[in-house]
Amino acid sequence: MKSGKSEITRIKNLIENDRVNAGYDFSRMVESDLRRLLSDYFDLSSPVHLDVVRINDGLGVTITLTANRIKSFMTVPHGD
Amino acid sequence: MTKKIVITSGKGGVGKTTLTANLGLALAKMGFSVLLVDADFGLNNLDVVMNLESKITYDLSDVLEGRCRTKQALVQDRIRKNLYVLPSNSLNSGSGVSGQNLKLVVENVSPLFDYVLLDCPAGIDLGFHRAVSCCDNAIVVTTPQMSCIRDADKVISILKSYKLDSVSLVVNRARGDLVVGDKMMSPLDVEALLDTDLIGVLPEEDVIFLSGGYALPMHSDSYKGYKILANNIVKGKKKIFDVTNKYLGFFGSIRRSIKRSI
Repeated sequence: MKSGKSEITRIKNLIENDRVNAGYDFSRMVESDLRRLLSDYFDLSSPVHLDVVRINDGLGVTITLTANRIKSFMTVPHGD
Repeated sequence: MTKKIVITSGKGGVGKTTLTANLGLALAKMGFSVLLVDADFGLNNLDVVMNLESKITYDLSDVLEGRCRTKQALVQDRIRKNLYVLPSNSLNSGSGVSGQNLKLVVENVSPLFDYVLLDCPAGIDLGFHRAVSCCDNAIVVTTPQMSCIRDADKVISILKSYKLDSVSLVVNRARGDLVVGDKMMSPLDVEALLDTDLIGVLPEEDVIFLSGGYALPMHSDSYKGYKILANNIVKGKKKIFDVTNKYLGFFGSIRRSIKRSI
């Protein structure tokens, strides 16, 4: 027989997982922005993947991608 | 100024319509003029719960399509003359009705009343947004079941984006005997989980089914629960009905045993 306390723990986990779930549209938007930004610095060889999980009192955000190389770019020399 | 409150839940079947009807009646008994709007197109039941279906001449669809004025569609309650219903239409799914149009209708008639309660359809799609956009306050109804609480949490998250004056919680169908026996979450546990102000607790009682869900007997716990809820809405308090009270102590344990054996 279920108990009130065990139900509380289960629903708490369920609600927190629902709240962490950023949703398909949000993830796609962030991944698209990240790809645009990172492609300035890397020659990307895979799509960008965003993963959001709950850790302690906050969120753990992991961005995963693979790249062939770091792009060369010019910097403004000192004194010019 | 008229207070407009949407009664919503996310999950269907938690008691939104029953609560809308009985809360409206409780407010009317306190002397306020109250309008209940059935914003559930297609699956409307407010008129049926209140035994008013035979008094309907015009409904919300007629108002929205210009076949009558809003006042012509108002149906006066049989019990309290200061309580009115704006019924919906069971044939029209409401797919062509915009939130803007519904809001105009509600705003047009609101000045005549102290309180306007909107019975919101289940779900979080167009019907939900249409009803919420008409109101300044929301009451989220849930039961202590996990699926209801989960859906209520999603609704509360969406309501935050509307920047309403208040979002409050009512726990319906609370079983005091099961809460005392630690077989069901208490309403206070639900409040803590959803992090939303609890302003009403309504017990599960056979009398609700036996009375047709409306105009409950004065001796019933549900009647007391609605009275407290109405008082909380009017005075801004957070007193709640204690569903566990009669299941505590020696006689309480006897009552619990009897309930288990039924």
